[in-house]
Amino acid sequence: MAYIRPIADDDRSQTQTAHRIELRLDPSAFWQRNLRGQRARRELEVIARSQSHLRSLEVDPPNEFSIRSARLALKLFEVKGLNPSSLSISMDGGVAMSFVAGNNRAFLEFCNSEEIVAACYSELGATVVWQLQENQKDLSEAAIKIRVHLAS
Amino acid sequence: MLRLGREPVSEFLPEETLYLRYASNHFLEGQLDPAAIRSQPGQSVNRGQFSEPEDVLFSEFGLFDGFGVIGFWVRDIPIELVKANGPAYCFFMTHTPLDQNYAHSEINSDQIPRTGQIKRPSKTVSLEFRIALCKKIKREQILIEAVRAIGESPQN
Repeated sequence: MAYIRPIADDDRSQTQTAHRIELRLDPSAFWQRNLRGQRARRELEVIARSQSHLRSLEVDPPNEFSIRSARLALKLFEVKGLNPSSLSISMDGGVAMSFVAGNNRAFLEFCNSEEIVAACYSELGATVVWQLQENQKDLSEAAIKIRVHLAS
Repeated sequence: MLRLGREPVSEFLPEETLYLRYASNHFLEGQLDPAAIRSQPGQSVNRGQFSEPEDVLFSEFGLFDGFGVIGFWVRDIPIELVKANGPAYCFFMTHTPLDQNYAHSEINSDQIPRTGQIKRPSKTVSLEFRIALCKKIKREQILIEAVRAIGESPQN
C-alpha cells in the first residue's frame, strides 16, 4: 500500500535548504573565477619584481610596457568576468595570458617590443590572430571576442 | 654532445625527433602553451639524431635544472603560412651546432618566394605558427616532466 505523507512544515524547510544549496553553487563559480583573477594578478606582481635569473636562461625579462599593459588588461577583464587560466613569462619576451575552456583556447601576449597580439583557437578549428593597441577599447573588444570564443 | 669538429648536417627527415625544453607553467590542460615557443629566428631545439632528451637540460651551472623536455617531429612544424594581407612565410630547420652541443638546431623562416635568407615574420604570423606547433604537442610527448616554472630560480 502506498503511503502518502501529508504536507508538513518540515517540507518547507527542506525546500529552503535545497534553495540555499542552489544559491551556494552560483557564488562558488563566481568565486572560482575571482580566485583565478587574484592568482593572475599575484603572479604578475611576482613577475614584475623578480626577473634577475631570466637573462641567464636567455629569456628577455618582461619590460615596463608588457607589465603595464598586462596589468591594464587584468583590470579590464576582471570587470567583464574574464580571468586567465594562466599568466606567465613568455619565452618570446613579455607577459602571456592563456585561457582554456574545454577544447577552446585563447592567448594574449604583451610583448616587450610594445606590440600586443591575441589569438582564439581550438583543436580542430581555424586560428584567429589579431594585433591590438594598449587602450581600453581594443582590450575590451578582445575580452568580448575571447569570452564568445570560450563559450562557443 | 660535443661538436668535435663535425660539420652540420643540413638534411632533416620528417620523422626525425626534435627535443624542446619547457617550463611547468608552459604546459596547460594537456597542451603546450604558445608562451613556451619563441618567434623566429631564435627557437632552439636539439636534433634527436645526435642527442638524448636530457642533453637539452645540460648546463655546467645547473641553469636548466627542474625544466622538462618535450619531443616532437620535424613534420609537426608548419611548412608555410599564407596570410591575405601580408607576405607568405615558410618555416624550416637549420642545423647550427655549438662547440658544446652538436645537436643544436633552430627553427627559422623565410618569405615566399624564398630569398635564401632568414626573414622574421610579423608578430601575428609568428603567433599563428607557434599555435599551430603547440596544437601538435600533447602531454604524451613529455619525455622529462618539468617541475619548475619559468619564473622560478633553480634553487626553488
